[in-house]
Amino acid sequence: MITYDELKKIAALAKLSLDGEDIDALTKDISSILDFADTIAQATVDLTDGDGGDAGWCLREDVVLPSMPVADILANAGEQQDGYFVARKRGGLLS
Amino acid sequence: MTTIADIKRLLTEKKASCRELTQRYLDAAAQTNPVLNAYITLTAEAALDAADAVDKKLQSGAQLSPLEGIPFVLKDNISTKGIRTTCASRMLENYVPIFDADVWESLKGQNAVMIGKGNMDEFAMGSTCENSYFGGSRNPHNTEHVAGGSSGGVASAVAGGLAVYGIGSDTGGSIRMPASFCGLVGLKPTYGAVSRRGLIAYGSSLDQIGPITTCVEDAALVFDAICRKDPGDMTSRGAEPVSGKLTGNVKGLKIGIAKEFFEGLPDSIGKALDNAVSLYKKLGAEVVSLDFPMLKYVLPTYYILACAEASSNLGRYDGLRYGYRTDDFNDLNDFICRTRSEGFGPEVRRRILLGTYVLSAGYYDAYYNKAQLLRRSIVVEFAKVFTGCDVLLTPTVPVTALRFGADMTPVEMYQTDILTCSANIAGLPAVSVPCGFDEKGLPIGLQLIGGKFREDIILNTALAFERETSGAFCKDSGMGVTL
Repeated sequence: MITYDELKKIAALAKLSLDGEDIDALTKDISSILDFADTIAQATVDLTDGDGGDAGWCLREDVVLPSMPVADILANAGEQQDGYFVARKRGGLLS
Repeated sequence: MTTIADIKRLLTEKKASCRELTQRYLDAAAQTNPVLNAYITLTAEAALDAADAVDKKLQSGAQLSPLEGIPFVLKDNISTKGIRTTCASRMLENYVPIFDADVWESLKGQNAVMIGKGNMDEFAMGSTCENSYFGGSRNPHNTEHVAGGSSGGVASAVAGGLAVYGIGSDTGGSIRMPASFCGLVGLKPTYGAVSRRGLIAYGSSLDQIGPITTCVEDAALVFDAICRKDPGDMTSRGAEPVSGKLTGNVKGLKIGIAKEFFEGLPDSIGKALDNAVSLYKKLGAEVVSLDFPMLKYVLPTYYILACAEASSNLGRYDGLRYGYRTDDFNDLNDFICRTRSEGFGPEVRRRILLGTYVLSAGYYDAYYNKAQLLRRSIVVEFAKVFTGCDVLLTPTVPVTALRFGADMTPVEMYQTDILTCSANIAGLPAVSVPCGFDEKGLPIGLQLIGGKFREDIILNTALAFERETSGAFCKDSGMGVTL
């Protein structure tokens, strides 16, 4: 069973606010999902090196490609100024 | 149901222009979408522009490529430059991509006619398509029931006669489940066969793009049109075309049956699958009994890995660069936290929390590391399976389409993915084909899983079934465009 304090800690790591959440229902849901996930603890793993691990991918050459135009990059920003994203603090800019 | 060949015939025999046909699909979508909620956005302008290009080509006497002029629906988590792509989320409600996904670039280059962007579970997280910020999609065979998730809008549009085929994405069954619920063919290709560039990420090691169609031959045609190696996705490798290889002959084919996939099925699904197995025997296939003891660990392994990847992938949504942003906050951290909590729906928030939990110090080894080891064990188990058979036959989903608004806990909902997600874990191709109906007349699907890059085998096996049953299980819903 996950506790409220643990949930608060995880929410902070996940950058989620718990304001407005039904904490009892969320705690219950997360706990039941973790109980279900806990079934993997019973599994014994018998693998040798390389078993099931070769996906066969290879990295491409690390070549510099043209960047996207700044105007395109900023096109979906809620607020922009002088080619930068804007984060607004009440009454002023954050950055 | 209308196939790609049906449309092709009308166009090449000049019985209708591409513009006329496209307009019919657009009109049908405008009329029926309020009932099915299959589309989030209709793209009439892009569709008619493509249709005009096709008509011009036809007038010049040039040959059309396989998907040229065919109306289709694209899942709304696939980026379309200049066309809103929402991922069915408040977070991206007004997001307009600045580049095209590889699949859309490829289809656009072939003058495919996009009717609209298909509804889905928010960020592809769900089994019913009810987790959409824009409301859930309905099943055209019975609108009291769901279309399935997460590519529910795509399946609803195709089964509802509002598109001839669709492109969805599948992380744990999101193409095959809605295909099964809506009586369609759904192909999840081998991981790496189709580029994921421009697919809004959920679980990057599991996600794959694929077709939802009204027949097996169309699934092969669409697969051939979208699979290619793309330098923009280092995991993409492309694949050999399959449509020219399909014969429908399964004589001597070894079909594996693992009892674990058949436990606890409702009678109607069990009977439909028994009938399918008998039919394959009649066609000369050899049915082989196998064990798949790892199945009991597949679902928790899948959810641990998918949620862990989701928590990382969805970390990019901070409201600063794009997407929803809150207007009520105290400082930068509060701005980001509130933006994310208001922008994401409950299921997405739940999965981010779970993913963060299994990746956090103290739990990482017990959950994430163990799940990665189990993933490798599942890959090994499948390798053993394919030493004894050519294709594994299972039901696609252990239930038929659920009632809209059914009261289920998250774990009960997750259980519906139990038969599909093993193929994603192992990166294998799998196809769902309609094989029967339950007592309410809702479609049932059978799933065929093959070895890596053996789409040819699974589609050929599916084609044999479809031909032998004369497509009797691909029932017309009676909605949308009829030719």
